Amino acid sequence: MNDRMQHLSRLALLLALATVIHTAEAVLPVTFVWFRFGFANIVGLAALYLFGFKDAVVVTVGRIFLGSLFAGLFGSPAFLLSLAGGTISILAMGLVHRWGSRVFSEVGISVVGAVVHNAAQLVVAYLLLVRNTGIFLLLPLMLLAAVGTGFVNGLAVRFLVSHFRKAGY
Amino acid sequence: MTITRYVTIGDCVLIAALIFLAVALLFVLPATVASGGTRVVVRAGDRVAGRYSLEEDRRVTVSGPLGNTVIRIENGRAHIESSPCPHKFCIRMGDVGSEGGLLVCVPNEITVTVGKERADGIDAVSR
Repeated sequence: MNDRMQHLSRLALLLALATVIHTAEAVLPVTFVWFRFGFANIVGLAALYLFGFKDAVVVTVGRIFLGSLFAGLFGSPAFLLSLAGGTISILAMGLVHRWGSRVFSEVGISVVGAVVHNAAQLVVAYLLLVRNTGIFLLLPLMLLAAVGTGFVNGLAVRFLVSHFRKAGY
Repeated sequence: MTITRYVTIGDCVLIAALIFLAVALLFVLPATVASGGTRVVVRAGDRVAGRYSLEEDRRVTVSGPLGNTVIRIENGRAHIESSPCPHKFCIRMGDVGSEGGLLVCVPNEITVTVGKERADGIDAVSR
């Protein structure tokens, strides 16, 4: 019982942290930085390492719903893009973590997640919003952005997870 | 302290492969995606008489209530070459290129729409 309570409260803390980061990022102006850093995914990926796949899905999908509510974007196209990208990317990261964690570290898995996230967003944006194949001209740029942000986030996950582990999580 | 303290060899291979892929796509994509080109849709009355690419030079003849209207596509622009209508306004509308636009012959009920095919005129709405 005590263990379950402890686990639940830790999961709640991670979800709260992810939601705050997601909300802060959602209200950042896109004028100068046309891509998002995806810092909220640091928490989702950390949850994958600390608690496993199910909890990582809870943290990721939960923060997208809560964060969109707080940012006033719930139900908007931006929310749909977040949801599609976030869900598919956590699935991909779960798969790579399950079958490829000997080959890839946190950094590699984070890069995979970021790339899949951006690719899924492009496809959903094409299907729901733009309906113009010209949108796929953005693919190389979004791939490069994903590699960059994925790399930085992956390092962050590495430090975060080792900190949590030292703290006894 | 080496680089493998932070990343594995697999990570490096993955990142290098993705960067290579992105740069390759940067060169390949514009040729394949953008060449889809602009469409020319010819309508006679409320019926679509034909769809053509603006890139291919051709002459299209469409029949309306007054007779045959001839539409000419050449050098990436479309114009009405001849028309049986009395005032020839449609010919004087000039030509339309990939910027998109409309040529109309009201008496002969012919319209030529040039542009990317999207009916409501909106590219995208976000936020």
